[in-house]
Amino acid sequence: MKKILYILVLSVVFSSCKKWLDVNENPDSANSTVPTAEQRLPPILAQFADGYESAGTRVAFLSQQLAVTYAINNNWNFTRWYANASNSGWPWQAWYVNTAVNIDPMITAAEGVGAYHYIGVGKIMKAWGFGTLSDLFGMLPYDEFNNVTILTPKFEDGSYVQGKVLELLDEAIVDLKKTQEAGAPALSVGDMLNGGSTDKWIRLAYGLKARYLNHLTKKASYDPQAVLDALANAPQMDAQSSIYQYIDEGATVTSTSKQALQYTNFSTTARVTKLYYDYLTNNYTGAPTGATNVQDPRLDTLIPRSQNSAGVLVRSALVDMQSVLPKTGPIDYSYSKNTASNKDSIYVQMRKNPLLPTAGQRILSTGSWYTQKGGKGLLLTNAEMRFIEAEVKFRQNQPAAALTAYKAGIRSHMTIMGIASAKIEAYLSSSSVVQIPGNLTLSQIMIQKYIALSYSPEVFSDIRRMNYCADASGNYNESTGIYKGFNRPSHVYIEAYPNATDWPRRFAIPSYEINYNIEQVLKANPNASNSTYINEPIWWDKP
Amino acid sequence: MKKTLLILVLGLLFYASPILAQQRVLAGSVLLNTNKTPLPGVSINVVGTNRGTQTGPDGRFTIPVAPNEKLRFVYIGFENYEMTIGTQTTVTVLLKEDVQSLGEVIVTAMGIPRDKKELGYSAQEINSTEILKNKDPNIINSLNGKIAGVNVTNSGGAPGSSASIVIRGGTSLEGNNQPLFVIDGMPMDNSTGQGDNSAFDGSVNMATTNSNRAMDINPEDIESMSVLKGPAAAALYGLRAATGAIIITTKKGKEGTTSVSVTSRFMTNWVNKVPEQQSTYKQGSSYNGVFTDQSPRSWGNKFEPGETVYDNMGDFFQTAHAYDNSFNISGGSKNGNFYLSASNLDQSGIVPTTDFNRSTVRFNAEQKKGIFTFGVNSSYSKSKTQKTLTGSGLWGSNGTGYMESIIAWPRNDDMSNWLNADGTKRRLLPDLSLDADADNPNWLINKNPQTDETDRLIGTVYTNIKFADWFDVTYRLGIDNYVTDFNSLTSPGSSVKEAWQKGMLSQTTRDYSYLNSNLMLNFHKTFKEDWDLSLLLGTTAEDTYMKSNSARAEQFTIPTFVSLNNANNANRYFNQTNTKRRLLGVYGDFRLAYKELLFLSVTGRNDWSSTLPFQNQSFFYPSFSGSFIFTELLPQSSLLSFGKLRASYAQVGKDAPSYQTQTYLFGPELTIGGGFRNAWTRGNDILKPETTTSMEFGTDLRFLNNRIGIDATYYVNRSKDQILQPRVSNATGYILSYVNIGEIENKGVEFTINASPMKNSKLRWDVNLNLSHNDGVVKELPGALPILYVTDVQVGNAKAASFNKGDFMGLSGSKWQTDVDGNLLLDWTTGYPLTSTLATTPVGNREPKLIGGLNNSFSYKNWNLSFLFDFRKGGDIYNGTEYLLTAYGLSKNTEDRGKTISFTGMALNPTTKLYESITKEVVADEKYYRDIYSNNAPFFIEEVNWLRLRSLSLAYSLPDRVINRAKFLKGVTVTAQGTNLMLLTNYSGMDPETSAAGAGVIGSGSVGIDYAGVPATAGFAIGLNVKF
Repeated sequence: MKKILYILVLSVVFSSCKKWLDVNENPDSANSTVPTAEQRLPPILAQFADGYESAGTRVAFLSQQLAVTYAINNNWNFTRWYANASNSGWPWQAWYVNTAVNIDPMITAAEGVGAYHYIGVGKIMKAWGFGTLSDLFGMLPYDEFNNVTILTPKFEDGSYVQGKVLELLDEAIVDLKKTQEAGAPALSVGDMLNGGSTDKWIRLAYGLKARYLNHLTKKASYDPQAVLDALANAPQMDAQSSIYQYIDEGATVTSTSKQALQYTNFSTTARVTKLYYDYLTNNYTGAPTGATNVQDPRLDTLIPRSQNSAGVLVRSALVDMQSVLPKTGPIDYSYSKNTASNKDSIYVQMRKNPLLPTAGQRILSTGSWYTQKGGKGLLLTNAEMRFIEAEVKFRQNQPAAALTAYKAGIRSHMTIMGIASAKIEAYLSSSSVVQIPGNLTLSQIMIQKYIALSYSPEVFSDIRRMNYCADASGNYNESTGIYKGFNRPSHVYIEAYPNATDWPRRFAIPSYEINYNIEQVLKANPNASNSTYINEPIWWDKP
Repeated sequence: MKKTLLILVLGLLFYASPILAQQRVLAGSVLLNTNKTPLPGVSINVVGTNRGTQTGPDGRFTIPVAPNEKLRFVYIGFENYEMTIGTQTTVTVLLKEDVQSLGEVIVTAMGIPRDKKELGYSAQEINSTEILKNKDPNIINSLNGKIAGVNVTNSGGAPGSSASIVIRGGTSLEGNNQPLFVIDGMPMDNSTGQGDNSAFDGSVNMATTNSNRAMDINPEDIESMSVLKGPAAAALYGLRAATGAIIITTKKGKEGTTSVSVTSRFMTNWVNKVPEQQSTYKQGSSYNGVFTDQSPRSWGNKFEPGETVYDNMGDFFQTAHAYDNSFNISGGSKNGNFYLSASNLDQSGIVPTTDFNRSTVRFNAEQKKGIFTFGVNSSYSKSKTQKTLTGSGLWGSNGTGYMESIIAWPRNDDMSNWLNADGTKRRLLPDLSLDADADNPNWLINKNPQTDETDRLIGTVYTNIKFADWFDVTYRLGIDNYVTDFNSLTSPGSSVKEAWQKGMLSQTTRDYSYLNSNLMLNFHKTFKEDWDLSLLLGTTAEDTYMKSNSARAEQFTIPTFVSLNNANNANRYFNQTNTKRRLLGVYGDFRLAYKELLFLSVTGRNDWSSTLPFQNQSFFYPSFSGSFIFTELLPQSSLLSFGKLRASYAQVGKDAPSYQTQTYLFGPELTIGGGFRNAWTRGNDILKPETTTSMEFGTDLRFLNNRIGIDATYYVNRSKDQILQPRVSNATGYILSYVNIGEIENKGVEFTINASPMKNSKLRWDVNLNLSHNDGVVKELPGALPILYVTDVQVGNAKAASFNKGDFMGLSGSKWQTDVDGNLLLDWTTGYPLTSTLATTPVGNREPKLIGGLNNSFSYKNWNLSFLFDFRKGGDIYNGTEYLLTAYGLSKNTEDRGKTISFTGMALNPTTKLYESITKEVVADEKYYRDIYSNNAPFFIEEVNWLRLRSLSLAYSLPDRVINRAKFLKGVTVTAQGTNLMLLTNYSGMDPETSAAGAGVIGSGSVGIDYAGVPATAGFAIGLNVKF
């Protein structure tokens, strides 16, 4: 009896101790199992957009859309084609850490309530993120991502990842076509990209398939029909595009989280290149030209202007990447008094300045369409689809269809930018645009696509597929090359590109992998920590 | 006895007369108290006179005396003895061996006093006199140089700034490595500052000088501090004992009279060392190839003859003052005693506007009633600090710290001129945007103050019940509560990021509350005279709760009004953190002593911690220690008078910080649509405790009748299963991940030599030398991790880092690239050495090879002269201050700019695509210094030695005969003290005792990183103590 009493007392003491010790649940934050699908989706979209558009910023510097005022910084290194462990890191981290790790918990939460649309969207986002990274980096961890027991995930080749990506997109289309269970949250609650339209999401999935399948142009396995099949279900109209609408919260709100990524990323140091301007103004070898030339109506919304001392708005001076300018200037705009006579102020920054000019204040920059604080992120557009179509048709030797798609692509981009349709049509019917199918060249298609996909990471895929402006031997060739005038910058990072036939082919492996996962990195590519790694073609960039 | 004493004292007070009664000769003998053998050479003198003698070989003496005079007997190795002469003509005096020098009693774990000779491990005690000899507002600094194996680093000269203390190296790669502080039987918080709110308001450890909370203790209240150096000594305290423990015992009233003591001190401090600057070149920059004067840097033209070169750095610092007043009254009877004290310290800093003010009150009391003893130890303190921004200022603010601004300030500009005539800010470069300009340090100290205020209550109450001679029970309940308010102001118009240019105010209230309940059963019994057994059984429960509320306002609506309310709702932010942890422990300590020969101790403790996953909550760890006094077996010898060998083995577990077993969230997010996403850190639900295993061997030898004592210790500590949150591959989905991998080993030796070369009735000289060496090595890091950084300390091109299979207190940095043969790699066209942006190369080890102290004390009559030297040999420092000076063009080193440097190395020939040996001459211009030179971290790393006169103290007590004339007066002592009066070092920067981010940094800490902090000071103090 006494013994039982002791045991009883002991067990009461023990269980009350256990309860007393049970205080290890953080009262200030819910844990990762708590959020619902509709609470998970908005940050997935916002963080994805950050990583994707920031990759686009990097590509813009690399692809000579933008130059940087002189500074030894990450963006400047991209202008000399120097992707390194440090400047390649953000798209990687923004995807893996800020975005991807949240997708499975969203899918799990959605499965619990039969919210199939969230499951489908989750799969598309997963496919899109891994697909984007795969194209930039060529190799990346996929199978061992987010495994609690693995601190050093192994790398897979991009070809493997693309297979997974296409599977995910197919699965997603099935999920998005399902009817959600009663009580499941409507997609519109958490969908900050496509407003809950499953049709737009399905079109996005097909659009991505078209994009990825079209990357295979150098491969024997390239299947133009498969691309066209995907395009048939992809966005056909501008309104079917997936465009992320940023929010300008006004001058008094400190937080910058909702403003356009390119406003944030371009900061005050990005400048327009001569190449980008030449493409816009048809000033390149083989550009369409004739008696009825019309100025591109996008010119003044893409190229910033500033007021000179007479108060007249003057377009930014341009940075010629083949000149010595990238090495020595233009120096930072702020280093001088803001009088128009100074040499640096003619290189106008991309950000509007002042943001809200008061009467009599000098306009230092009119800004650009992409850098409005409340601007748009053109993540996947009808314009891109039309240019893919134009390229495929061109390859299939259907110049008339190619010309139609080429014009539709230009029209779509202009319309999305809000250009008045009269101006668009005037331009499209002028000699500034190819009018005769037989005259259309792949170069003209790709250069218009280059403009329509300004600051998009997809530009990097295109310039690699087209081998820049090089011929088959890899040497710069103005007559046969695609991106006319796109040549080595004067300050090219020679360690990575010792030969004239070396061109940027991939981003460097980010520092987090170099520092903390080097064994797996080297296992996947023994050259990955060397400077020439970035001129090695990724899987689809070679036969 | 008490009555007699009282009559005697009264007699002395009332009947002391200038005319002494007639002298007569007193004869006597002095014997050893145990076996009554005569003691030769004992000094005898009549107190307050010049009369004195010594005993002869037979222990006999004669001396002329008058009635009521006092005789003092002094003999080395023995306790002093005093007696008052009555009417007797002969006297026999028995002298006792001095327990102070041999049978020293030390307060050990759980407050148990033990004879030092029993201990199977190394422990050392410092008494109140020693603490007050170089009294420092921060008691940790008073330990510096005095104890072998204890490394104290003051973070700088700011009032109220933290000092870190590490015993025998760090045991945790990413934990707190400072010892547990125990005050009157209760663990007490000694955390530092708030430098962990960076994402909220930019407060990082390096941004300002925070206090470590042991600073809330009034040093005058301390009776003794025991330093328990290793796990064996501290095993009973569990968890945090792996890093050792500091046991503080506060003063008690003494049985007898009530006494009052008043102490006043006045201190003055000045900068002891500031870096040199060049005085040849003015403001400007040609970094972009074109000269511009629109730069704060000093890469411009030469000063013209006759142009003023301002000593901006030298003129900036002020002489600081402090007033330190304290008072106490204490007394006691047979059944009770009390001690009541109050103190105030008002200290200004060498950086204008900075200060530290501390007031304390303490009440200790004890009362016996029958078998019961009741007691209380309580203190209340209020500490206030005004600090300034250090390092690079608030994290992510785009601003600077005050010292970085001084370092940057061009010397053609008068830095003291910081306001325009109309009271607006005078800018250095008014044409630049505000965030591109630099703030004047005077602006920073006046307009952007960082302040804090702490109210703290520490108290324990206890009951002891003595059931029998051999059995008693003690229950103790303690609380440690404090509230700290931190304020950080960035005034409108500061050169910071856009969001804060119209002002930023951040306020954080940190509420710490700790409750400790401890029950101990003590058994003690002696068997057959020779066997002495004791057993201690105890249980303890700890409940820690920390709440931190932060609020921030940005963009003040009314620029001149500083308030959280003075901003739009959208620009007001709020954040709360609650941290709870609980711990249950059951412990036991069994001790066995055989004669005076052999002492053994076994302890065990089981802990249950709330911070570990349920299945791993319970963990047990034992310790064994023993000592063997081999001289007991040898014939008595005056050469080797005492010899002891000791050994111990101990294990200590350590739990995780709170809330690491799950992954938590970021959110609600500020991005479009809000919502939640996973935090950067992955939780781990299979964490187990860390374990530190320690082995220690030592010996304690006394020679020449205990005149010289030598103590030597060797130890090996291994800490494995480290709970870490290393940075990991992003492809894990996280930036940081909690893991249970990693091992550190600390091996070291410690020597202490105590000697009393002279001791007689008038002169006494005591000297103590201590030396120690520790080697902390990382045996294992998780996965393929080559390196672990201390996040708080990444400055210039170097970082505090621990290397896998390398130094625990390492330095990593970027370096000029070399090929496998060690040839420099050069740029083919420019000839510049190629630099690397990866700061992962081991470039130094911050751990000193040898540290030590030499402490001397001379007493002559009523004078005492003490001085403490401390020294250090080896250990690297990254001179980040010099890095800044170089970047800004104010380093002395850049004075020969424009010279030609020749580099020989290998370069990639772009034509042949092969590396070829080339020699090229380059011009050491601004670009070279900023981009090439600065990127080679070894240029800024110095292996440092120093010898420092840490303290010098002279005290004079009024002689008894003068005291006796004044009624009610018991003693008057005047002291003069100097601190840091001499520093010999090969270090080129400021004071090499430096720690850029203070004591709040985890892991290998910020010791050895010098980065634009507050320079150390030298000082002088005079004080007066009067006892009634």
